Amino acid sequence: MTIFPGRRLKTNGVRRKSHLKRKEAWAGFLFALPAVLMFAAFSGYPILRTLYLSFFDYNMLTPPKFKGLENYVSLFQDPLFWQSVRATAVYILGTYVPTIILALCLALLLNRKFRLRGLFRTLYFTPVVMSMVVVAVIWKLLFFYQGPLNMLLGYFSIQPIQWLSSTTFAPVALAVMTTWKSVGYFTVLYLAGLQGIPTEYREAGMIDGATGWQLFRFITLPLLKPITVFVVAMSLLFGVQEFTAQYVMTGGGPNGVTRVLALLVYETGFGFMKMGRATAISIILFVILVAITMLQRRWLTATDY
Amino acid sequence: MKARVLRILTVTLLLLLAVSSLASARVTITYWTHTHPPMVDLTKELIAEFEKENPDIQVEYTAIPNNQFFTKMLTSMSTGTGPDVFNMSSTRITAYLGSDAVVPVIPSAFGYKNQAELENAWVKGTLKAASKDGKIYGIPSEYNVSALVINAAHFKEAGLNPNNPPRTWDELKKHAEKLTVRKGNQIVRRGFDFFYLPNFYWLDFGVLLGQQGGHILSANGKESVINGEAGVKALQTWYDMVYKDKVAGPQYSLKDSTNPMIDYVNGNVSMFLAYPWSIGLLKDTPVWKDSVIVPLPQMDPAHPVTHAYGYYWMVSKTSKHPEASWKFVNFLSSHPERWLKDVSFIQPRKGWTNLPEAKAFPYIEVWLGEMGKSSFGDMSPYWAEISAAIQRAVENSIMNGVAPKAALAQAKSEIDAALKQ
Repeated sequence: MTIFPGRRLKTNGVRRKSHLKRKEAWAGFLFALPAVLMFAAFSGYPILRTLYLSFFDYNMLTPPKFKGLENYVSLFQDPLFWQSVRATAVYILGTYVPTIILALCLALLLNRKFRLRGLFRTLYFTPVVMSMVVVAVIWKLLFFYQGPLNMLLGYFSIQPIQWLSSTTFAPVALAVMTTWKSVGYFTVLYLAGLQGIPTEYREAGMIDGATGWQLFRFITLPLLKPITVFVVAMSLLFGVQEFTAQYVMTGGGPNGVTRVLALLVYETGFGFMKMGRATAISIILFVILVAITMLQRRWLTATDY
Repeated sequence: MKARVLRILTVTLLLLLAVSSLASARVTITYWTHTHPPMVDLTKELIAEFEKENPDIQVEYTAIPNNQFFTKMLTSMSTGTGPDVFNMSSTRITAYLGSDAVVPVIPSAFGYKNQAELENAWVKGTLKAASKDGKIYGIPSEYNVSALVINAAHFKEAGLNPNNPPRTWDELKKHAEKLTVRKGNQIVRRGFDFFYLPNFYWLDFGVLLGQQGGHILSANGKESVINGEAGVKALQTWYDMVYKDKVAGPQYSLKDSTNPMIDYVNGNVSMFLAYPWSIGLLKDTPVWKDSVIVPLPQMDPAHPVTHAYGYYWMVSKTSKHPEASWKFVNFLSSHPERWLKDVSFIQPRKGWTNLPEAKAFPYIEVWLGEMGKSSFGDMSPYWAEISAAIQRAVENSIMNGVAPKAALAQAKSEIDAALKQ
């Protein structure tokens, strides 16, 4: 023992350190415990219960009957389910691709110094804080066949469009409305990102003779990558979960072209009283959301910034 | 001293016991309905009168917004927190009957000795929608059939005689052509149109289908026959009005579920299909003075067909006070004159036609005529899915221009899939 006094001392130190670490870990665990318990009660249990019910035939009035994987098998064979998957994909792409591009453009504009900049920033953000139900009702009136939007088109000799009654235009109408509603939120995110880019980078580029487009393409855009990754992930999550807009504006019609997956879950469970089948759709939706989140994490860790 | 305290304690205890037993003798029942303002007002009045007559029963009433009613009913019934009494649409009843969620009517609560006596007190066939295996589970709060409403002023303006209304769908199309007002290639006023709302697609299509002699389901209820010749002819009638005759069009409809008649009230439609309850919403509008209600047009007037639907008072299986609940339903259904006068609801309890209020009810002879031809259409525990498939087929054809045959073939496959699940 006396031969290696230094090592003994070191061992004591490590022990003390690990004891401290253990104490810290316990403290951390205890601090996190209320949140963990809340999550387990209000998220974990409902998720497990949903998964459990997805293997049953359950109309909410009689006890569930075990069906095994039948709900999943019949779902994958159901053209209405695939129509909803398609409607969800169309809604996400049709809404959030233009939203992200528009939000970036607006952020670039609002990042410049000009008069009434604060007012414009507030105006663009206002729809974000409005209730989706209110927004959907307003746009439903705007899109009415004999409504203001078609009247405006009439001034340019354009024939009125059946915005909400046509299978072609109903998804477009929903995309326009959601873009208007959500562009402000993503603009704020991009604005924060732009304000975090040191001015020296752009100045260095300007000294090297870069054009405005080159400054944007090779300096601003790459430095905004973390924000873009976040914005894309959020868009996907918002898009997959959207329900109110379709419920209020089109009720999922015409002919089911706007019946997104979240609306299908509601319709199947509460309308058709097939809660087992509805929970199976929810589980599929859950898997999609988890996959998106994983993808987002991968993108974020792959980024250089 | 000790004895005195003991006496006081004993008296207090006895008093407490007496009060608590009195309190426990008073039962509370809960009652839920959808929201229809005139109905809600009368319900509140009747509850106050019922409680006065029956001090041992208290009624807690809740009117639930229309679009939340079925969801709220379903979730509450599944957790055993549903109401004792509720008012349910005939289209949804089958699911509740099939799930054993309701209890049969107790004849004694209505003052009858047995079910046969009770059954005999209502107009024949009107209890059918709420019956299963020979037992009655519901009492009608409203019984609806459709008739045609015409705007007499529009008729005169178009050179038509409102006293000679269309009797067939072919005649209706010809009248509608004359009534339609166009500006360029746009319609300013539609000669006739349906309601383009979820709850009305199956009603309107169902009437056309029934008149063609068709059905949605096969006789054994195991598959859909909606795409048969009758179904295609029925949808073709609607399709032609929009694409061939161009007297109707979903794009012009305001599609207001709180007031489906808004287009007619605004003067943008000259004829539409109405129900008795429509009177309650129409009679206070300026257009009422020009409105005339005439029998429903038929495909074949020699064999008239019309469909009925209704709402029924039912008592939940989880109710702890079924006797008191049915007693309350008896009270509600014992005032058909007030339901007719204040809410425009027809309650088909025998003898209702002799009431002065019935004789004064607008176009009573038309409604009675339609009731005489009426029957409930196909019913199924999967009605919500069937009705959604019909909506998609009508939308696909009427809004998307798809041929009726193809649209109904899609509906058939969707209904068959729903029946198999």
